[in-house]
Amino acid sequence: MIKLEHVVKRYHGQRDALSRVSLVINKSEMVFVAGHSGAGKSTLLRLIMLLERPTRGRITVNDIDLQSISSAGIAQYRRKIGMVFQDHRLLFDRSVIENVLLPLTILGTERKEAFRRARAALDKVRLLTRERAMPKELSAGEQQRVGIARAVVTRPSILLADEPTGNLDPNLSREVMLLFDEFNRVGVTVVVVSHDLSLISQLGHRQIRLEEGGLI
Amino acid sequence: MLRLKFNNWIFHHRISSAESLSRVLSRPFGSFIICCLIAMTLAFPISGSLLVKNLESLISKVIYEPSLSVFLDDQIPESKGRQIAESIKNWEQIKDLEFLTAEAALLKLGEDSGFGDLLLRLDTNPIPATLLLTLDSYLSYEDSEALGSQLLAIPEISNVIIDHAWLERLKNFLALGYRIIFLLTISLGLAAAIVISSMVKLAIENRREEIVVIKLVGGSDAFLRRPFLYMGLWYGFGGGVLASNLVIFAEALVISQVDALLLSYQSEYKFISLRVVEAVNIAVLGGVLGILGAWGAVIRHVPQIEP
Repeated sequence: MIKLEHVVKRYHGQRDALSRVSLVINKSEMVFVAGHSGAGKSTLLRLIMLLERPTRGRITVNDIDLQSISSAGIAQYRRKIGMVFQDHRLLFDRSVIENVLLPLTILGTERKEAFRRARAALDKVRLLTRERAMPKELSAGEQQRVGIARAVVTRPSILLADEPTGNLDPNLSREVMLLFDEFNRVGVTVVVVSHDLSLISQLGHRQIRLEEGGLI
Repeated sequence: MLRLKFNNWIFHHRISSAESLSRVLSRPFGSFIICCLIAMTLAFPISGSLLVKNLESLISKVIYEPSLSVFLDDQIPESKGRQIAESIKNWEQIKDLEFLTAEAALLKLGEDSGFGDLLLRLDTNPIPATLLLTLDSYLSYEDSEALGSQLLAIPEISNVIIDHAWLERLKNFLALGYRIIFLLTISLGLAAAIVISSMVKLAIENRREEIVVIKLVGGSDAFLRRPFLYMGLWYGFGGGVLASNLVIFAEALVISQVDALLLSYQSEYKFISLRVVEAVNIAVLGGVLGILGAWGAVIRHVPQIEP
């Protein structure tokens, strides 16, 4: 469960990126965070991912108060959460499978088991046949699917996606969203930030609307 | 569970070390230049240390008996001089004593210095009657000095010269040499570590995007440090191996000349070369310096890179 209580995020000398936001995302729920550019969607994910700390308020993730996590504990926390980025954030000097193996290597998963899980994740996103390919040999949609495979390979209980379809055409966008839907069906809490309202409406999950840093 | 974690930790070290080595080897020319820089900073104090060690060993093989030249007052008659010689002959520090009249002392000085003809042309003899004292070989330089002071207390003795003072001065010079080499080792070792630190800093900057991604997926600073520490190790180790080879090469260049020089002095001294264990130690030292240099870079720069 993700819980935000009166969360404020203010960047130096600017208006509030998030203004007293309180919300609850239940375990195994899939929600879309929608809103215009600058509404605070990405800030919300960055706070949950502990890429930033809130100026005020309290965030609890799986009963852990994020305020209590020290700088040294951040890496440990992030290992429990899968994150998908708009720009994929792949390592272009490593093959597809090496990219997917990365979180498992960090976790210290036994090599044989790590390969088995990485292949299973690639199979899930229908890229098993491209495991030896380099990211630059893949299309934007395929790169995004590698990013998703990397995010889910550690079997996180929470999956966060920041504009995952931002660079994709409508068909690929739908394909990616359906993947998230599949993960949600097996119990993963999924939070997807998107400004594509028509696509969000088609999938029928709860929507959280943000405008100028506040919930509407 | 603990065993599994340990095995995985070892496995990651293996991966990190192999990956770092392959990165270092993927830029053979650049890496070779860096190793050469490190090698030069290490080879210089090593060569100096080898030189001082050889000089020290050479000196230790010089067989000498501590001796004193005791000059009597030029006003005292020969009989009085012999009387003094008799009186001190049986002192326990003195192994042998030879009394030289003023004339005999001048002749001996002429023989020893090679200026005999020149000295004989002098109108007056500037050398007084002299006692040549051979001391027991166990006496230290300080003992010789103490004996000299004791002798100077006798009113008829005007001066005492410690004949083996040159050896003591040389020993002091060697001790100074060791100090200088120690300081050089520290400062040049520091320079090598700084070179490695700069290279690792550059590598961190070049891999900034990778570091960000690894942090995003939960990589800790310790996890991120490892490949860079191994990079430092490889550069340092490579530099150390090159430094050993440089010293061996320099030795091979000069050894025949050194042997010829020693032979001209009828010395059978054998030049002390760099031993295999020392060469290995230099490589290890290079590796340690590499890790320290890399540590200096990673500890500052890796935490600064944030997603």
